[in-house]
Amino acid sequence: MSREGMRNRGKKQARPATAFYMETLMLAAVFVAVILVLVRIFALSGQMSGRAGILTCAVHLAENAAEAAAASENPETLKELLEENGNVRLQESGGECMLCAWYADDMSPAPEGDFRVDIRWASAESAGEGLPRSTITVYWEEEAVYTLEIACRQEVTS
Amino acid sequence: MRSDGRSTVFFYRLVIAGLFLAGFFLLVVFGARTYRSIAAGQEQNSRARALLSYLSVCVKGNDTEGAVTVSQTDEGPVLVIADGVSGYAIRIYREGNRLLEDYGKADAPLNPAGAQVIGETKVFSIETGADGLFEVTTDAGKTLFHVKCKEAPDE
Repeated sequence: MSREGMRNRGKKQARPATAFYMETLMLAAVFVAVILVLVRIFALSGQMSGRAGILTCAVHLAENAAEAAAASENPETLKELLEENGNVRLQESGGECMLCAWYADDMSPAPEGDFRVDIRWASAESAGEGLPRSTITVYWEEEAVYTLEIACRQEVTS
Repeated sequence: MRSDGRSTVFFYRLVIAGLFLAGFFLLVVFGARTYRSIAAGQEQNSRARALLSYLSVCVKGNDTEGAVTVSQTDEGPVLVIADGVSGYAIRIYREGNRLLEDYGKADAPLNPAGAQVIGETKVFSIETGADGLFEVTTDAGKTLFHVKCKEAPDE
């Protein structure tokens, strides 16, 4: 065989090997991209599941606060109903009354808990002819998670 | 020389296949663990809603004069929610580790065999406060509900 023929034969052997390596690299890159996308999706779903648990607790804490507010005639009574282990603080400013109650992740009363329930108490005088509307906001790690507006009804006797 | 080249390519292919298999295996394990934690969280949320919010809904649906009362048995307290003036009532109580609900005559004995299971709880206590506020404690936490209809004052 001539020298030129042997040279061409070497090039032909090199081309399949180079093509193989290039295809393998592309395949590995696509595989890594797919894995990264799926891992991102799994992580996002886990994060949403955690948020659902926090929202469930927030809704329940707001429900309890609303029921206690409906049973209370004034903010001091509401404070007595909700307070346990010193987790409630009452503050008045600018004619408005605000109660803050702290709860742990398992919804137990805890002064240093991550959940904070703010109840903005609306007095009957401020409502005029309508029903006094109070606002309950639940915070988790200082982020507002759930807000509930209630209108306390008068006592019903049959 | 040729056999060395072939063994290098074979080894290279083996490494690539091994990396793919390892990546796939780790992905499956990670996905299974994530799914398990999500399913557990969903179950916990459902259990909390069943043990807490359901009691409040039962009371709100039957909030009439003197409808909600608490009686005591050997097993513990029973939350009795009267169904209007029919003489029948919803009774919620704990038997063993289960929170049960049955529907029957208000003064009849409890019927655990025919009761519906609300959820599992080792704790079930009821405290009555002033102004018609009830506090019910279960494994999932405490729930408060306010009964708006009070008994009519004596004339």
